[in-house]
Amino acid sequence: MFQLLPNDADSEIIEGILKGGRERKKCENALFEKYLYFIKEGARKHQIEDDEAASVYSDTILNVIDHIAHHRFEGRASLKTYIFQIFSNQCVSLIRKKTTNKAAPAYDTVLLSEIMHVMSDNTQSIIQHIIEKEEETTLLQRLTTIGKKCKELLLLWANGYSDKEILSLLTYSSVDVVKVTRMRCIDKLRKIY
Amino acid sequence: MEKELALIESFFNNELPEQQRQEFELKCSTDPAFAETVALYVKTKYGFKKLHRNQRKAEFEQLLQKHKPALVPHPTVRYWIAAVTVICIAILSWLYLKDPDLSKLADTYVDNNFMTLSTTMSADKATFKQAINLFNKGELAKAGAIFDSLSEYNNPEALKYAGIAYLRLTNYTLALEHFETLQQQNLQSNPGTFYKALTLLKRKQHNDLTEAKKLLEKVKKEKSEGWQEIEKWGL
Repeated sequence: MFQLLPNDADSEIIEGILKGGRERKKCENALFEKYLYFIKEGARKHQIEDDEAASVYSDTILNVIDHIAHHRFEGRASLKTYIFQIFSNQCVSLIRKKTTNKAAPAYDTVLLSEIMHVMSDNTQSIIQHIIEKEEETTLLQRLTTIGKKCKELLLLWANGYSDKEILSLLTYSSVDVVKVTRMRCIDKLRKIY
Repeated sequence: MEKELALIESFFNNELPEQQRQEFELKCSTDPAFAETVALYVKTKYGFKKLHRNQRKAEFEQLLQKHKPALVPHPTVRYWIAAVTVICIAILSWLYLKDPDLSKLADTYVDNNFMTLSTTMSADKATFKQAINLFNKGELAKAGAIFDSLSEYNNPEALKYAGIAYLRLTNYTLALEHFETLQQQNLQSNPGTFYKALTLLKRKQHNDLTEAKKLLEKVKKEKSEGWQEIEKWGL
């Protein structure tokens, strides 16, 4: 599946993330810890603060985890190179944001367009317009008011876990029950909105 | 409602045939209620993803604090830093062992040996005795002048004492002149070279330390007067 895997440790991490389940978190942490030294290099190279570089690094790892989980990391470059490239790009974006002094957009547009990438641009902008009627902080606050069971179920779903994987992690009787419960939880949110 | 959400999910999972996809997109632009439901679906996914990310970021922060190597350089760089540190320590230790603080040792030697002169030594002449007494009383300039005049009569002892008096007076140029003259004397035991080295170590001018080291090495090698002291210094 992967064209270039530089070492066994990286391929183990990738496999662990793809496998999902309880192993995934361990592998995610292992990935985060593996290239921690990028932070210092990034801070030095881009002349940003260490804590800024650390925050960019965390975002980078979360993006890479997402890419791996959704099979968007194709292994054309080594995982290290892939991470470093994204990390460097994000450091540059941070510098741009700082120099242009633009207020950060309310929503993470990259994350939004990743969710909506299957839509045409026109439809994306219609949906985005509706979403932006509410501020992101208000949205996040509202989401936390939903019940504990719905919250853990939707957290897993939003992060790419399939209903089958969710079944193995939570206490549901079947995949169908997971799906129905998930739909009901989203519907419940409509009432909260 | 659940049916509608199931349709939306099928769309986002790319499970709808092309025609249904087009109808779906058209409905988003013509049916506000439907578009609201699509937005709800996207918002929910986005929101929980963001919450998860925030939570994971906080956990990563804890990992970072636990490990702290995040803020240290690449392992290879760390090895280099460690290696360079070890080498520096080795060099500094070697230099420290190799080069004791000679100036301090010279100070101590002068303090211990040149504060008083023994009156029994070669003090058969009254003038010589007088000069020694003056030296011991601290009247170094007078003592030096008398030793100086006595040294003109081929008296190496007077020459040595005159040099010591000038050394005590910190008149290093005169002290050096006297010790260099003493060096050239053909004596069974000649401290000239050692005393010249001491004077250079006290003067501490440009190249004095290097020159003094050379002289001390020579004394040690030739086992001339002062060599045992030099050995004690660990040179």
